[in-house]
Amino acid sequence: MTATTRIKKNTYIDSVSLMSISTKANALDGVQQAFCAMGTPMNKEVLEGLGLVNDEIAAATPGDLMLIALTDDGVDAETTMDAIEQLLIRKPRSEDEAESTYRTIAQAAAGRKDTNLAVISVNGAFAVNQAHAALDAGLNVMMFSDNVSVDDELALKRKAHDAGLLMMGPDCGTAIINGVGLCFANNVRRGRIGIVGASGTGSQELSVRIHGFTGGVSQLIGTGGRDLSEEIGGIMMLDGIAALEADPGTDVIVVVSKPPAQSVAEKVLDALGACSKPTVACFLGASPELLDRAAAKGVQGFNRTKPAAIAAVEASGVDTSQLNLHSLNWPLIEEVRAKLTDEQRYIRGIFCGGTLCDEAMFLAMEDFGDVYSNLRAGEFHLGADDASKAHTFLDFGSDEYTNGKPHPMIDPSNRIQRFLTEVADPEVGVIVLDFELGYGANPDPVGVMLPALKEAKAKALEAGRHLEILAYVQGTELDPQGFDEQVSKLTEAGVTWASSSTNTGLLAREFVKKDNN
Amino acid sequence: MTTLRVLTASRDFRGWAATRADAVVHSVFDRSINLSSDGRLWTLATRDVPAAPATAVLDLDDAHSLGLVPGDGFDLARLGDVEAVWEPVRPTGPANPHTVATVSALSAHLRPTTTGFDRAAQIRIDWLTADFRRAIATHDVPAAEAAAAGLLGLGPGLTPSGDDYLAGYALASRHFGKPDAAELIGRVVAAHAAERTNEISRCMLEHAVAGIAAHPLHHLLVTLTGDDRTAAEAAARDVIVIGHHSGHDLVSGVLAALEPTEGSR
Repeated sequence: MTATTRIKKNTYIDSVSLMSISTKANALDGVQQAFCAMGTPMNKEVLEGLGLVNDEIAAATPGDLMLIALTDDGVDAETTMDAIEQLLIRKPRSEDEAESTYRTIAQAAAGRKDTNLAVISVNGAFAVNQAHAALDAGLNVMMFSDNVSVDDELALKRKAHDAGLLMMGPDCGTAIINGVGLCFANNVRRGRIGIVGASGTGSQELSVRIHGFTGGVSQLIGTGGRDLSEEIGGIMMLDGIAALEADPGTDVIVVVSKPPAQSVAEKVLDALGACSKPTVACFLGASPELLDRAAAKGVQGFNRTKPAAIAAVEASGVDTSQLNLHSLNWPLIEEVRAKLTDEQRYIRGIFCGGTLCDEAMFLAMEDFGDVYSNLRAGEFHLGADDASKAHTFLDFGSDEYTNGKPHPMIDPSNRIQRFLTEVADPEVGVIVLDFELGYGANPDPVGVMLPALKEAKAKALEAGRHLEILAYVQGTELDPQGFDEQVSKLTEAGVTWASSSTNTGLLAREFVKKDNN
Repeated sequence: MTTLRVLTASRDFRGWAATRADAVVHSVFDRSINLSSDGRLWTLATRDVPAAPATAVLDLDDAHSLGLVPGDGFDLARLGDVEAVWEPVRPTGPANPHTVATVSALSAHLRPTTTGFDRAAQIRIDWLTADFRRAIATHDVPAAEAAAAGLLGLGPGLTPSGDDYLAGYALASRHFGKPDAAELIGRVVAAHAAERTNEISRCMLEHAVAGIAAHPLHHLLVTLTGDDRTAAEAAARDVIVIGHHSGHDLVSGVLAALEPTEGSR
């Protein structure tokens, strides 16, 4: 390791820029650590404690900026330090009209009068102020940030409602507005079906299924995960339904979420029932009674995403009788059942997408009583550090797994670790994995897991048993990752892939069934 | 020569600009320019910067648009008449302990992410701030002065974390009936700041000791006297977003000054 120092005499750089420089410097190739600090006596004492004081640093004065880089052996330290110095140079504002930097949302709104939506992803505590500023400036809001209080969410949604604006979020990861995908979204055909979703991957799933069944999406409005709670009362869901009812580009309205709080379910179904356009409600895990209440209001109700998508596509005028609707592959099911031993009776689902996890889990719960998950409460709840039990479905995108780390769609390391743990369990019959394509997702989600998939297959072979790995690739042929290429990688690794989220759950539960259940 | 419209200015800035012809550019940032004159710094800020002592807020988006670099002369005749004079709001009652507790919880939750140097400095900052608070509580003036001197210039940022902490502490002490603590910090700054920290931070500390800081800090102090915890949290956030660590460190200093100590006056 080499330590290199540069002292910038009488150089004052604001703290935010200093932190940005420090962060970028630490990300340079070959840099183990980089420090930027003012040359004050106490800061030099800190560096002395780290063994980094040399004559240059000793001579620095409080108005000087100290740059220190610790680089790997073999790295040209001086060139690296040159690169760090370059970071200090302020770049002039871009001349390109499409990209401008403003200090505040109010300034941005004033400076770019043609903008009408703000996407906010800062820390939740700051996101609230920014969302208020955006709404006050007349902008619609999509808030990816979470950790926002119920009171704050309520205040924002009421303000948006009163102003006739969208307040998508907090914790909203997916939207497609006027054909533009925001945050995590798939490249789907534009069409006449509008979606309002309180579930990110649920919304994505409906959009890709609609695309797959030759339909198209007019708008996909996200509401954030808590919108249908008793406290929030479905404000954004109801406003979204109203917006799609009024939208001349939408012929069919679909909503997707987990079952709402009871009072909210009534309001949502009433709103859908009052629409002049055909409506479909997809409430994952919904009871038969809730689906009956939907039907009574003239709303097609489903608790699975695939039939909901088919219903939406049919309502938009597509003749599905000529389409491959991917019914369950029973020969495959029999084949897998024959390969599994009696001991291999459990499903282990290790998901990135919460709604995909939900759907598979709810389908398993229809047939099995011993289904555990971090998404379930009470006796069937599993914490982040708990070992799997019986049938286990884990949403690795939940807070208890992310906890300051990147989402598994971006960094799968945690998920890979858990996957390899499950592989070693002789009671596991099938491991289920999801891979999300589209904007914002990993550029090669299957590729990053491929070594682990191959390792898993090899280990199972060594142990003399078949390990069924069932994967679902959520995406379309238009997504940037290359849908066919992703699926080919799975096939080459001996992984079975399902054609939809619904089929993933159905196949998983059928694979592990024995003669006595 | 285009006249620069002055939207607001502090009273001291207005007084200074009326009696001077020019100043030298000390430092230039995206949203402000510091002018040096007679050993003091005076700030020209863009319109989105909150009012502050020794500061004039101009009708500008980008401070770099003036094309100034350190060392340039600046003709004060370029400044138009001050359209509004900024007077800092001041709390008129004691701090509400429940509101203070709410802001403390928020502040702890929003501690900024740190680099390796920051973590190493933070160990010392934690140790020295604990020493400082203990010394203040036990009226051990020499120990308090030593701890305060140790904090000067310590930590990350253009205004090092230790300076921001002391500034927040001094400001709150001045406004909430603990002038002794503010005076103590003032003595330490006068004796040691010139060699222990940079000019920008020293000027910030001097203002804080005198009981004046940027508007968001004054607003925070006022909300801490009330029972509207939502307003206090919002005011705290407006301070926390200052700089990268600075806002958080300023709030930490304010909260530390409001810890109950026996016999404080």
